[in-house]
Amino acid sequence: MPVILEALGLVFQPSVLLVILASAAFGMFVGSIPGLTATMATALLVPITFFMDPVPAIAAIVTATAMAIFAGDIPGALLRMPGTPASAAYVEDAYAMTRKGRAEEALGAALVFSAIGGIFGTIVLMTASPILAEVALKFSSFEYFWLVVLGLSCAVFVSPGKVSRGLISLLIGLFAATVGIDNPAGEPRYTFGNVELLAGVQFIPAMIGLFAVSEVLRAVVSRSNKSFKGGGDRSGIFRNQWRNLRRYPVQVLRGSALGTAIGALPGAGADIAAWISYAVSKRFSRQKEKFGTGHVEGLVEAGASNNGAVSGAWIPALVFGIPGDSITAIVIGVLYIKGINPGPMVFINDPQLIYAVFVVFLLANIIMLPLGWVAIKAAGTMLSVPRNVLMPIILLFCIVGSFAINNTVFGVVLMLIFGVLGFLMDENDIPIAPAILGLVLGPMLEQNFITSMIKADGSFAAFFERPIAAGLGLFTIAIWSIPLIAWAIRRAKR
Amino acid sequence: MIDTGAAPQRAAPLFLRQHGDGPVKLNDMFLGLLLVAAAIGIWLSAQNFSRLPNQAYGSETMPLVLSGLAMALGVFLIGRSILAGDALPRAMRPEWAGNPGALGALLVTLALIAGYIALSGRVGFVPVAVGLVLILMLVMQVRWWVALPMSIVATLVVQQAFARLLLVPLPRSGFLGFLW
Repeated sequence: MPVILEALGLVFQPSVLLVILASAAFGMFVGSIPGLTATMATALLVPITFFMDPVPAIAAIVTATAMAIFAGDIPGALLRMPGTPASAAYVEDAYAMTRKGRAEEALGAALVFSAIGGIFGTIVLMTASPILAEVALKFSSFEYFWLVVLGLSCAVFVSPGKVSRGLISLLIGLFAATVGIDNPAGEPRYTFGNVELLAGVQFIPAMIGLFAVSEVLRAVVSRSNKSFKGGGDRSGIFRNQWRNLRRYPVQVLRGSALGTAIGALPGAGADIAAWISYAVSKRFSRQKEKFGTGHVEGLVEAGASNNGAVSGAWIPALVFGIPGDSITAIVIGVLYIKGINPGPMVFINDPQLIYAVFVVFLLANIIMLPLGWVAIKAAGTMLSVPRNVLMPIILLFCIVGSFAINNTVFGVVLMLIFGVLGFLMDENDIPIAPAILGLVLGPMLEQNFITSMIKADGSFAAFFERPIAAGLGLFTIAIWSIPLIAWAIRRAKR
Repeated sequence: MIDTGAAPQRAAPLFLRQHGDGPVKLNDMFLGLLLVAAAIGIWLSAQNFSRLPNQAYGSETMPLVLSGLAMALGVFLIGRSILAGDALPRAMRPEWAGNPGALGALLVTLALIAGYIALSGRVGFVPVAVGLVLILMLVMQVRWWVALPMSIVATLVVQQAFARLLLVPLPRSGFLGFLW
């Protein structure tokens, strides 16, 4: 108890609270700009944290990250430009709600259930970190392989339209992920002598191209000068969320728990979590047919999962010093600079600091609600702008966002290529989202597949020898085979 | 969950069909053939990649796996098309392609992005961005007295937010260097 009081004392100081508020606003600003990511917000804060004490330094990063990840949903819902691959899981539903004049309800759901998922993840982080971290560390390349395949399968099956077209999209993404030098033999693959391609296809310009530029191109050919709002959006940010919470309590709990558990796996994170949660939500929903058409249920579950995973990623980071994602990797660096070595000993040597981090997590997720409200209201005004004025400005944001990832115009080239590709995919009813997840998870899939094959000496049976791997593998195979068997039976009966 | 591949409506072969025939432009046979061609291309290219020393796996493995998957999916789509009695590759022209204005607007937009890529490094961000937004607004039928101030204000807001606040090194313009 004295440790917790000491931690509260460290956090509830005017200077720390001011840092939390300022970094929250900063995170919200960066996250809501298409093309800028939570990782970028964190990286930009690092030089400033050099001049801070450990608690405000960590508070700044934790708060900015939580805000930026939620704020990534804003351009996703309003403009079909997801801020993160995780937001891409439910962007079609959120954008469809916007087109129906329910943008505030969509963003309100993203905000409230992100906060709930984040708080759930923090409570797990506070109470069960060591146990979860032990389990997470038991995952080998076999388990990770199946987890990635499961995530990719979910992306194919939850996408609107035909499964075969979802698969085409996935293959496009996986193929794009093979570009570059980051492969088992470390040789350039499909780089055509281009030095910029050695690092592979950057997923942010690709994502901006596939989602946003393709949308701009569609607006250009339709030449619409209407705004999105029609009669005005009066759905309210918080108005329907209590009803959503009462209607979908199981989904909220399931999304938060699944997100936290997947987030705790080093390297897995929010991207896979959001996709699997969205697929689970659709699988067990009584209104499956409404998914992808502006239905809030998947948004509720995947939104909670997304931020649950963000909290979960801190479990291996704090308990073992193993970063769960790029953000926690940066944070571990900052902790070292501050003389705090993450790992089991930090719980013994500096428990008040760890509890202070937990308190900051809770605060960040709570102040997300009022700040998110302000951000949604401010961003919502853009919906009243006619599309023929808005789309050129969005294209400018797309260009600058693609440039900003590596500060090179090659990002804009990638954006253009993927924009045309996304437009053609849209025109042919090929969903875009599986391509994004394929691009993001492709390297992880390849690495774990090759490692597993080498370990198993080419035997596929080894993929089922470990209990968790076998469970994940059988579940993935069932996802693919049950619809195929059902289709074959239906065809045989005809 | 699996699409059953119901027989599509009859359409004229390859890009001869006029607009308004539904959302799907390429039929399964067309996509299947494209996938088979892609699979062969990836398989051939993978022959140039090497394996890890003393291992059966390496840089070639993933492209080969993808080639196999693309081939399987392509053959599946071709087979399904044949079973559905639709054995010719067909493409339907989308509705907007029948409108020269829409097609022109699309080409201008792509040219504007290509122009930004080619010119921003030499001319600088601000003039190229103003030109891009202005022309695109005019293409999208915004009145010039709205488009001109909007393009200037939008460019300056983006430039200040990214270059000043977020320290993104947007290409400088010689005579507008004071903005950075």
